[in-house]
This record gives sequence, C-alpha cells and structure tokens, in this order.
Amino acid sequence: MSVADETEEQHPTLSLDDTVHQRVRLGILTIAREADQVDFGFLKEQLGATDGNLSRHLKVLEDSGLVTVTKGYAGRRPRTWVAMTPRGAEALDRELRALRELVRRLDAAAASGRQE
Amino acid sequence: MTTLQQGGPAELLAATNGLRARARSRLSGAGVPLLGLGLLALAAIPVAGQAFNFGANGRDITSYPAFAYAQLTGLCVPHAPGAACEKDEFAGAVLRCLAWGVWFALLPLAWFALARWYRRRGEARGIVPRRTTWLGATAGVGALAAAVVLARVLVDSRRFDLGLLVNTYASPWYVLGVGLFVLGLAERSPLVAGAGLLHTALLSAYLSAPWESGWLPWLDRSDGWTDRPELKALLLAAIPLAAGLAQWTAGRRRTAASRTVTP
Repeated sequence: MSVADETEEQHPTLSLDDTVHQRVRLGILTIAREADQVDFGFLKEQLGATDGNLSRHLKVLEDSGLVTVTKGYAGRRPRTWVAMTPRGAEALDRELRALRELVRRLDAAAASGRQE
Repeated sequence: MTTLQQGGPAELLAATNGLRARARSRLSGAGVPLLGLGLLALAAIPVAGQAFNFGANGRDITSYPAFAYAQLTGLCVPHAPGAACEKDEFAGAVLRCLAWGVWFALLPLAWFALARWYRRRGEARGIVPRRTTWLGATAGVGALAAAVVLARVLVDSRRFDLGLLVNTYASPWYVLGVGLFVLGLAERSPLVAGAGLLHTALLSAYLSAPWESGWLPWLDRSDGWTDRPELKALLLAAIPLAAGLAQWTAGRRRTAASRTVTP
C-alpha cells in the first residue's frame, strides 16, 4: 500500500471503539455473540472478573445500547441474563475488523522492516 | 480459563478467538442427539421388517392403513373363483400400521425434544444457545431433505408423487441423516456432519436399488434375512450410534484434560 493510499484510507486505529475495545467489555460481547442469553455467573467465570468489575462494564455496555440485561429467577436462585443487541453485534464486528486490519498492517510493516 | 489479557492487537484477537471457541464448546452437545436418534432408529428394527420399505424389498406402505381397515372390518377375500377366503389374511395389520405410524411421528417429535433439551441445558449452564440457529437448522433440514428426494426423482426418472415420499419412507429417514448433517455444520463438528452424510448416502443407496436386487453387492441376492429391512435399519442406526459413542468419548477426554491441574 502506498503512502497516498494510507492517508486516503482511514487508519484502523480510528475505527476502534473505546466502549468495545476495553478487554472485559470485548470479552462480554464476544461470548454474548455466540448465544441468545448469557448468565452473569458464566461471564464472571470465563472472564475472570469480580462481581463489581463485571457489573460496571455491563452497565457501560447497557447504557450504550450494546447489550440488554434482564434479571430473573431459576427456582429461588436469582439469575442475571445478558443478551446482545443488533447494535452490539455490529459494534463487535466493526471492532474485530479493525483489529484484524491493524494486525495485518503491523505484520506487513514488520515483514518489510526485515527485508530492509 | 481463557481470559483477555491486555496486550497488542494480535494478542487481543487471539484471546477473543479463544473465548469464542470456549463458548462454542460449552454450547455443543451433539453426542446426545447422535445417541438419542441412533437409539430411536435402533428401536425401529423390530418393526422394520413389517413397517418399512427401503425401496428394494418390502410392501407398499399405502397397504398398511388399507389392511388395518380390512382387519377391523373382518374383510375376507377369496383369491380364486369359488375358493374359500383366508380368514386370517389381515391378522396383525392394525398393530403393524400403528407401529409404523408411531415411529413416523416420533422422529419429528424427537427433533423438537432435542431442541428443547439444548435450550434447557444452556439455561442450566448459563449460556443459552441461539434459537435462530435451530430455526435455521430446521429450515435447512427441510430444504435439504426435499432436495435429496428431488435428486432421486431426477436420477431415477421417477414420477414425483406423494407415494415416493411415503412408500419408501424417505422423508423421516432422510430427516435423520440430513438433520445430523445440519447439526454438524451448526456445531462445526466434522464427525457429526460426516455421520449425517453417510446416513443419507446409505439410505439413498437403499432407495436407489432396483426392485429385488441385492443392496449389498457381496451378499447373496436371495431374499434372506441379510437382504431384509431389519439389517438395513440396523446399519442406519449403527451410524449415529457409532458417531455418538466417538463424540461422547472425545468429550470425556476433553473434560478430563481440562480438569488436569498444571503447576
């Protein structure tokens, strides 16, 4: 890719969304993308997050309209279910595309550096 | 445990892929459908001799309700002018018709029961599978089963009618094979998809065999037990059962490996 192309095309880092890019939030969205609903406990276990930390990140995602959070019961046990919204799916796809493009460019730059 | 560690974009992508794979592995459970549908097919073997017609041998399925009606009404048919009729000619016809009908209804019911099982299991595990995947899989099964039957019409140059679907008992048996294939695609499991394809191919081979030809070339063409529907049903059942056992064993090994504590 030429320098002119680089300046004309938006750099992938500009496509990274701060709301999505944060590692715990990216993890929440990645898991939620695979299912209709994910339980709070499952997310906590998979992401190695604390209750407070996970709640805080879920609130950010919910406020941004990327996930919905519903509370219910399974017998006497309270359950908190997290579901991804279509907007959340789009945001995750965009983020992953930007990350892949970034990795591709970094690899290309490293390869050209080795050749010189 | 797979966690997203802070790092460069490559590490973040790799960790994301790891999380996705782990979530998918928690959702997958093809061993139960394989064993369940295999056992259902196995249970069909005792009635296969009377109730199924895999193309080359057996009785036209439309005769079952007619013969059952004949038994219920005590019909007595003389087969030659002046000859006495055979009183027990239609004995057992009601039971045979019932066995066929029950099994015919069980397969679609089993499909929906498995969908429900996946859902309940997901709720218990904390990750509920997508409903759209099952709806898509069901639509895919219907479309593919129809395509397979249509392909048989074109290959065999047969006239398409309801009899083709019902007489050869094609549709429910195809639902089993095609259903496993679609389930394998949904779960990204080559083993399950392969079992479904093999099942569909074997069934197609049965149904494509000309009337009274041997369906296994190495067997005697005489109409012995080896050329009857029981063995055909047994082989059809053996495919999902063998694949289910392999899947179950692989799952147990994975679980044992994940429980191994590393220092």
